[in-house]
Amino acid sequence: MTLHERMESLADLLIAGGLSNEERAQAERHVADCAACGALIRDARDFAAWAKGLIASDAPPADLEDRVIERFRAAGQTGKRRFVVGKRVFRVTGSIAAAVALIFLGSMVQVVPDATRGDVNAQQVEETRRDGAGTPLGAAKPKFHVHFTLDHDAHDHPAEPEEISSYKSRGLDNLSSAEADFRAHDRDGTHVNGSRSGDAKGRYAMTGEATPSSQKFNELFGLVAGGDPGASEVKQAELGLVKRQFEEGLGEQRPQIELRSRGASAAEKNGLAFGEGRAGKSTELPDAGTAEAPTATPSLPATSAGITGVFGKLSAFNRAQNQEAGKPAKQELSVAAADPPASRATPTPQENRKIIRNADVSLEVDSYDATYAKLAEAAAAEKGFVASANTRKLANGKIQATVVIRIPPDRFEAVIARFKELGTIRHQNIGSEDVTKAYIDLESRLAGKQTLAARLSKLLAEGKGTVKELMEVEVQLGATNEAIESIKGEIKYFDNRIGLSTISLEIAEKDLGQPFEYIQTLQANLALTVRDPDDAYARAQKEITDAGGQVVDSKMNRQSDGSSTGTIRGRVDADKFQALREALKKLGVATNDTVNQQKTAHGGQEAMPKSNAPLRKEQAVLDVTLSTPPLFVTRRSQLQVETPEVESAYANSRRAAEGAGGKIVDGSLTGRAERMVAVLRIQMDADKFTPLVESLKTAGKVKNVAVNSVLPVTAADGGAALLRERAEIELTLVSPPQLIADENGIGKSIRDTFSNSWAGMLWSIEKLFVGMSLAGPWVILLALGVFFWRRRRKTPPTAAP
Amino acid sequence: MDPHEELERVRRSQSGDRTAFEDLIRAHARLVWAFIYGWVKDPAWTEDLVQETFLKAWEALKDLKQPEAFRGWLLTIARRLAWRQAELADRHDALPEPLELAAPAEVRNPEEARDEVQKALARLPERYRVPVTLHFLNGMEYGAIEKSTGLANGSLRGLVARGVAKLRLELAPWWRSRHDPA
Repeated sequence: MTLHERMESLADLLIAGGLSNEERAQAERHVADCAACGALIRDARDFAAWAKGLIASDAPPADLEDRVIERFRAAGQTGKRRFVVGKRVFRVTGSIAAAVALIFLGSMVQVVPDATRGDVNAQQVEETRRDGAGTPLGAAKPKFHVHFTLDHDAHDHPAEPEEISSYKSRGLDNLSSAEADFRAHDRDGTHVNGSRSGDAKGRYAMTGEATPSSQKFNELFGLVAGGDPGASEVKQAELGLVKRQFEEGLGEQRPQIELRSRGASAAEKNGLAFGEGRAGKSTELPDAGTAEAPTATPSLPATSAGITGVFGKLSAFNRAQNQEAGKPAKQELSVAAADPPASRATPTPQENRKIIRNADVSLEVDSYDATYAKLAEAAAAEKGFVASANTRKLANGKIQATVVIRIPPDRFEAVIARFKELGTIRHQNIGSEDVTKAYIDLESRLAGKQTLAARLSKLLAEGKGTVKELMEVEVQLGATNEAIESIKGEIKYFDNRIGLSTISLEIAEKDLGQPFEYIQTLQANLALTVRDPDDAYARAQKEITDAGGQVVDSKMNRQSDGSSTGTIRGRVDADKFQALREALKKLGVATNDTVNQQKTAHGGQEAMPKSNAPLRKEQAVLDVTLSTPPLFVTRRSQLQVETPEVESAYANSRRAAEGAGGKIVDGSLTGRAERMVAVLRIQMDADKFTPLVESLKTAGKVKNVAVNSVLPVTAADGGAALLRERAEIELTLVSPPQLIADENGIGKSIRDTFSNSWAGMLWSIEKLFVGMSLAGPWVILLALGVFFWRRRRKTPPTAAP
Repeated sequence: MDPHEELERVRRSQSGDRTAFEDLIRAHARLVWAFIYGWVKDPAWTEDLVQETFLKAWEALKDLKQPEAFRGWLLTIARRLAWRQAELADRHDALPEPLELAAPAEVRNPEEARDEVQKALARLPERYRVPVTLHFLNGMEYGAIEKSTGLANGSLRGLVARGVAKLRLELAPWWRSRHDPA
């Protein structure tokens, strides 16, 4: 192929510089001569230039290498390289950490629900301190008790009914400082106790309790309220504060302050049992602690002297508050409680009032007859009379009576006052019933009916109208007159009740409840061991009947082991009791012999009768139990024999025992061929014991032998107990021991270790899977998210054309 | 960089020598560029991928069992990245289009002509395309191409000659129309 022919393919190479110098020189020489090839070369050059020119904008930058290197260096500085180096280590440790985390997570799964069960939100801790252990305060010096709940940022807290007895501060900005201030009072000898609790929203509440002295009370109260007490006197501070809180208009969320002023115990007692001993008048102090006054709840004030004042102020204040609130108080504090009873007991009856007065009085007197005489005399003297008298004479000779006397109302109090002279007043209840309204009603009804009756009579007298009409008028008149009589009767009844007061007297003589005699009861338990129960059973019954007694109950039981038990219950006159008991004891050996003697008072409710009260003896009861002597093992042997042939030795021993008249109580054969253990328990009569032990010893090599003899128990009377003696042998047959025991040594340790590790591994796997199933879905979701995010980011703006 | 030098640089890089790897970048950056450009056809994106190729190569260099096969290994990484990118960008752009010999004669727009050159280049088989790209776009002379691709003189000659010839054949209609008066 000539150069000219090859020129077509060489042209491009020539332009690209792909020819060697020699080839190039050749080609250039040829082109100079050949016009066609010259065109070819020009063409190639033009094409290359055209194409290069067109895509020159796509050419890489001249500093491409530098830029790549720069990027490479930057990547190295960001630690990517180091990451690569540590990648494997990271992977391994990372996987382990992840697995451990998953196991932990898995094992946590069971715990989590329990932990979330607690309701943090609703927590409200209230701490109360009521012991009052601190500085002792005198009776006159009340000890105040502040009980409150501070609620930090309580705006969105609904009021809770349980909090009604505690003060609730609203929207306190800084609870911590309030708490600090509150606790600071502890230094002044104020006993401060508080606790705080928080919820998930960062709100927290504090409850506290303090028992400050009265001087400190103002200050502390002001502190709790979050404001200045602004008053010098305790009571006013209390009321003023409450009022202020109320005016703030907390609406449903009413501030409550529980004040417990705790006085000395004597004062409390006085307050609680107020009025005791004043003419038996049952007066109860209103329980101020339960009064549901809307704002302040005072407990019992310290001293009775202070009661009226405090209560007066408080109740007046409460009434004012209630009017303000448009809501009546549920219970008003009564000031009258502390008033002397006399002011109540002597009202002046108004002329136009119809009042029925009556009284129930319970009297204890020395002698009923004398009392009755005095009573009748007193009633007559006061223009009254004895309406009825019922008497009852009790078994101890005492008289109980119900006497009703009627007295004009104006003499009522005077008569009651005279009762004190008659005896001791146990109980007194004086009441009155205002029947004015009912009485007036009756009167007006009567007047109406009487008018009607008059008209009807007039109609009838005139005789106008038909017979039928007149008949109707007649009937109507009859009914009206009936009604008039009835109303008149009622009025008469009222007049009677109003005109004469009724006093019911329960009269009882002193020592009414005293018993009047003793009753003596005798009961004996006699347990006898007898050789022949049947004979003894018959003889015992005969003894009882011979002594003049009766056999109430008798029974004979026979058991399968040859023993039998008989029980007899007999009754006999008390004076024959001892003789019968002695006679019965001779039938056998007594194992139990007890006599229960009881002296009980009879009649009345009181414990002790008079010293000269008669003694009545009831028939004595004898419970006799007759039983055969018990089986008793007096000799016992433990025999351990080692033999290679345990099984046959066991069978032989059984035969030997049965041959000697023994009874196999228990027998067992356990173990495998090499290691067998047989246990045999044999009971037999005592005299056959020794020969049998000797014969059993021949079974093999005797490893251990122990013989115990137990002395028979002595009977209750010191003689030999009645027993059925037995002997017992416990035979243990064992194979000779093996040289190496199975369950110890290094092999066992290794096995145990492996089994423990295996169990641990199984546990870990279980927890790992629990953890994976918990975390797995989230990890997959996360991975998917990252994948899509990266994919989106990497998409080029637009690919070339 | 002769094969011995390159082998030595690769070994040093494997033991963590960053400067040695920088030498390798300098030697191969344009080859990788040309290689990727054929698939991606976007110079900016191509540069990114070149950088990524080298970063990946550096990370994975430890695992390279045959240091003498570095160039081929590097190009495999580049190819994988380019393919993925081409796939993500647009499948159609990456695939060669059927020949359109009867191209419209009135094509005058240099933009369209440029696209055609790109497409024609992309349609060339890889072994032709890389040397032609190196020559046309990187302005490499024959000797430089020889060094860069590591191809022996004989085979490179054939590739360049046939590659340019193929390109000319494909672009003939547009090339001829350039002479028409605007």
